[in-house]
Amino acid sequence: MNNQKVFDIDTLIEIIDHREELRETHPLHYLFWESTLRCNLDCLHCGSDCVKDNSSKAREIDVKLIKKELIDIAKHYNPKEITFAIIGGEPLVRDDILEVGAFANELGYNWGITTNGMLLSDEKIAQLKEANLKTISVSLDGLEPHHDQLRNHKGSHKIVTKGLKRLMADRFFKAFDIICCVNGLNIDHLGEFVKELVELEIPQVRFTPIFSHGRASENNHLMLTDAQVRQLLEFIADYRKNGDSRIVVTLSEEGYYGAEFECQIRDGLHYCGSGVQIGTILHDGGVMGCPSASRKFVVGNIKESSFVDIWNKKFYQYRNGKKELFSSQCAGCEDWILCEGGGFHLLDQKNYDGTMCQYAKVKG
Amino acid sequence: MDRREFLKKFVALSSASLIINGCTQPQNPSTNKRFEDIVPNTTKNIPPKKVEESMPVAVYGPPSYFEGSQNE
Repeated sequence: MNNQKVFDIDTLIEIIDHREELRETHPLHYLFWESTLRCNLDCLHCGSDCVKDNSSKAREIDVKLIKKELIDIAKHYNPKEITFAIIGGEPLVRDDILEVGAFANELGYNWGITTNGMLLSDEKIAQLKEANLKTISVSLDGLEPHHDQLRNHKGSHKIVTKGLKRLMADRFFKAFDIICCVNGLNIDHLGEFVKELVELEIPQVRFTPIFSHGRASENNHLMLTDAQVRQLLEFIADYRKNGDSRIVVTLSEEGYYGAEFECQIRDGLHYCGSGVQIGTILHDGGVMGCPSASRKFVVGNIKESSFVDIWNKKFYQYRNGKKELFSSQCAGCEDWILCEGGGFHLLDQKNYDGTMCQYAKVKG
Repeated sequence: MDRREFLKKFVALSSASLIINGCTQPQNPSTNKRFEDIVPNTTKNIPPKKVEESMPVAVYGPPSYFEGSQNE
């Protein structure tokens, strides 16, 4: 496989101008619904604030409310051009997500889930198929000992692998990938891990470097050193050039990594569409850009206003106000025009003021 | 440094990096034919200048699936 490319200057200028146009028009193409904070696992590296108990259940919005919003959004945007992503916590702990998914499908949305794979039984997969699920990501964080340790659940790798075999046997969905959180435990075993995925006939893996958020921030031994971040990028770049053509290896939209890597680790350049093309309805009805961003950037609640109204009137800081938000660190950085601060979720997390610049880790 | 100057430098550094890593031919993103029906090919039916941001990639969300564009 050899899928690196260099953009010419005119193409880059077109991309930058197009991004400017997107800030103005903010066409919604990706809608998250954080259906629950409840989860059936208690992972060491979890980047969200999910909980294993039912303490957050009372705050979860009723499915009637999310259905009402889906109907309203479909009046303003073409649902066929929107991916409706149901996430958690673990979304499959809620049986009624299937009802919402099927409803979204009827309206024309392309719906999908991100799951930890622990509940992918034959019955559940049949239900997802029946509801016309279009896209799915399953989390698998490396080889068995690393995954089980990170997931804090011995035997979890075996359970997920069985679920993956079931999914690969009946590819009713249109898009699929594995999301792997790269951390201090699995960074030296990525080649073996990808080999295992090829044997499972997995078509794509998206590596996402661990970042200091949620419980991950309490497990410093899992954090990657700057040298390990570079190791990850070099692994991806090399695999995309020389690796097995049966699998696509890519990096998540974690941030911008400069000219040395940007053309070698994904199909396109880094771009964070949070609040521009990507919106989220949280478990309690809160509205924000993407669910990984700091909750200080919640800009409204569907219990008080419609999502569309909030999307049209309250997202200034995600769009033209973004430069101002990042100004303390990014002012004067010549890479801003392509980086734009990196992922919005890297800004002002609980244990970190300012943005966690990814480029600084590999700049040398 | 103005925008064009920065981009000129970016392109030069990107090209140099690819050459160092053994890829001297700038190419389009590959499509894995065996799996092209399952891995979204963002270059398939979208005008080239729109490719980069027409299918947003959400950090921890499932891959974008944009039925409208694929049916155009």
